[in-house]
Amino acid sequence: MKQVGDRTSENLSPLATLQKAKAYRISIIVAFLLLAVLAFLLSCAIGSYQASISQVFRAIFVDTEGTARNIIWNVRVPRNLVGACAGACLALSGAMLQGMMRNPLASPNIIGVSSGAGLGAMLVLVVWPQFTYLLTPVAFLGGLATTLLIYSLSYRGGIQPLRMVLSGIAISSLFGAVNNAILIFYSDRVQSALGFMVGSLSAKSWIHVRTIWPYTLVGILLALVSAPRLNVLTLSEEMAIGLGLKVERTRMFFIALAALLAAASVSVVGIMGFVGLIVPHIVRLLIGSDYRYLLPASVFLGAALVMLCDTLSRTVFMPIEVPVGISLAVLGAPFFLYLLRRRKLV
Amino acid sequence: MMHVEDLYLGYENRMILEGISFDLTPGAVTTIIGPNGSGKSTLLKAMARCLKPKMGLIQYQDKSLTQISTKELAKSIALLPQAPQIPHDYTVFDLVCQGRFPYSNWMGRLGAEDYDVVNWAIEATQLGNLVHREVATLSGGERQRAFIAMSLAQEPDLLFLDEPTTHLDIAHQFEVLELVSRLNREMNISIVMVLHDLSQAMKYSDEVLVVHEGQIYAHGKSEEVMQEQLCADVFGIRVRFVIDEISGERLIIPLGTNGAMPWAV
Repeated sequence: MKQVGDRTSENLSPLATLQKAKAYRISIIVAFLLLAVLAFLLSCAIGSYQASISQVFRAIFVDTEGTARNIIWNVRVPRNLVGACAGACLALSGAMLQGMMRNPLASPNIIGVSSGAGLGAMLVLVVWPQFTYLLTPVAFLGGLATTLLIYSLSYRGGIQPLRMVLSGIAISSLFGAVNNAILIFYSDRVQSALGFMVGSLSAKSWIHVRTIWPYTLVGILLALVSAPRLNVLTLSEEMAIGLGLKVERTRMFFIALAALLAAASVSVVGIMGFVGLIVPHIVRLLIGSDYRYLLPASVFLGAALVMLCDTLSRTVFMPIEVPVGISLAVLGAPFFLYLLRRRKLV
Repeated sequence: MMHVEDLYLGYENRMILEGISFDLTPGAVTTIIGPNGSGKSTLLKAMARCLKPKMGLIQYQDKSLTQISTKELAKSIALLPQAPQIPHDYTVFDLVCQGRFPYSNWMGRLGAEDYDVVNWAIEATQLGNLVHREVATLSGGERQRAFIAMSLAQEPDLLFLDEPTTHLDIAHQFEVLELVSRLNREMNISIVMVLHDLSQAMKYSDEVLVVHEGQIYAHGKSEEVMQEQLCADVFGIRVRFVIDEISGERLIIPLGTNGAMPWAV
C-alpha cells in the first residue's frame, strides 16, 4: 500500500510542477487544436472513397465539380463540421457544469438537456412521425425546457448545486421511463429513433452545419470570456461571495449557457452524452483546473474526439456504419479508466 | 466601521439571533464567542453578506451592505470561511491570485500591479518558499496561512475569520493567531473572528462579543467582559481568573461544569 502511494507521489510531483508552466498548458491547447485539424483532414480523406490529403485540399479549395468535390465537399466536410461543433459544444457544456456545480459527475445529462431532448425526439419520431421535420426544434426546446424545469424545481431562495444534481437525476429517470414506455407501445416504429438515441453523424449536411455553428461560436466566445468567473465559482460558495462574485446570477448564466450549447448539439446529432463527461476530465488531468485553459482545450479535444471516432465508425465495419455515440463510448471509456487509474481525479 | 441594528438572523423557519445591535470598533480585534449553536458563525456570515438578514440593518461605513456592490465590498472586506474548498491542484500562487478577482476587469485579467500585491501577500504570510506547492499538500497551519494570504490580496480593511484555528494542532493555532494579530497591528486591518478557546480569545482580542440565547449577552473590552459569572451563565462552566506572575497576563482556568449536569463532580 505504502509503495503504491510513494510511487504515485513521485510520478506526480514533477508533473505537478510542469502543470504550472503556462507554456505547457498552451502547448497542450495547441496540440489539441492540431489534433482536431488532423482529425478533420483524415476524416475527409478516408472512407469508402479514398482520397489523399492533397486531393482533400483540392476538393475543398479548387474543384467546383467532380466526384471528389461531391463526396468531400458535400458529404464529408459538413459531416465533420457538425461533429466538431457538437463535440465542442458538449465538452464545453460539461466542463462548465463540472466547474460550477463542483461535481465531477456533472455533465449535460445532469441538467436534463439529454433526457428532455430525447423525449422530444421520441415524441416526434415515434409517436407523431408526421412531424419528423420538426425534430431539431422540438429536441432543442425539449432540452431547454427540461433544464428550466429542473432549475425551478431545485430553486429555494437560490440554487444549491447538489440539489440541482439530484433533481436532474430524478427528472432524467422519469423521462427515461416515459421514453421506455414509448419504445414498448410503439415497438414497430422504434428503428427511426435509434440513431437519435445513441448519437449519429450519419447523413448530416450543410443544413445541419448552418443550424449548429452560430450556437457553437457564441457559446465558445461567451465561455472563454467568463472563464475567470467560473474559476471563482469552483471555490466554496462563501469564498466566491467574499471575492465579490454575484454567485446566484453567475450560476444561472453558466446553467443557461451550458443548456444552450448542449441543446444545440443534441438536437442536431442526438444524444452523445459521453463527450460532455469525459473530455473535461481528460483535459483536467492533463492541464489542471484553471478554466482559462481548460475551456479552450476542451473545445478542441471535444471536436477532435468526435471526428476521430466518427472516422472509425465509418470505416472499421465498412460498409456498415456504427453510430458515433457507440464508438465514442467504446473507445472513450477504457481510455478514461486508464487515465483514472494513473492520476487522481477530483 | 460596521454598525448592526436590530438584526434578525435565521435559517428557514428557525430564528437564531433576534434583534441584536452593536458597533464594531475600528482597528480592533473583535472575537465572537458563545456556546455551540448560539449563532456565532451565523452572525459572521451575515456581516460578510453571505447570509441575508431576516430583518434589520447592517451598515458598513454608513451605507447599508445591500447598497454597496458586492465587488466593491470585496475590496475592503475579506472572509475566510470555516471550511474553504478549492480545486485540488491549486498552488499557493493560484489561490492568492484569486484574491485579486475583485480588482480584475471584465475579462478577469490581472495586471503587473496585481501580481505585486499577490507577491506582497505571499511574503507577509511567509509562504515564499511554498509558492508553487499545491495547497492540498500543505500542513494545516500552512494551508490556513495560504487562505489568509488570499484574503490579504483583497487589500481589506476588515477581515472576517470563521474559526481559523479548528483542526489545527496547538502550535499551528498560535501561529495563525499571531499572524492575525500582526496583520491587525502592522497593516491596521480590523479583525472579527469566531473562536472556541476562551483563553485564546482573551489573549488575542481587544474586544469580545458574547452571543447567547439569540442575543448579544455582552460586548466590550476583553478583560472587562470575561468574568467568572459570565462564564457560568453563558457556557455553564466554573472558571477562575489569575494573573500570571511572570508574563503579567490574565489567564482563565477552567475548573469544570457548574453542576447543571447530573454527573458533575
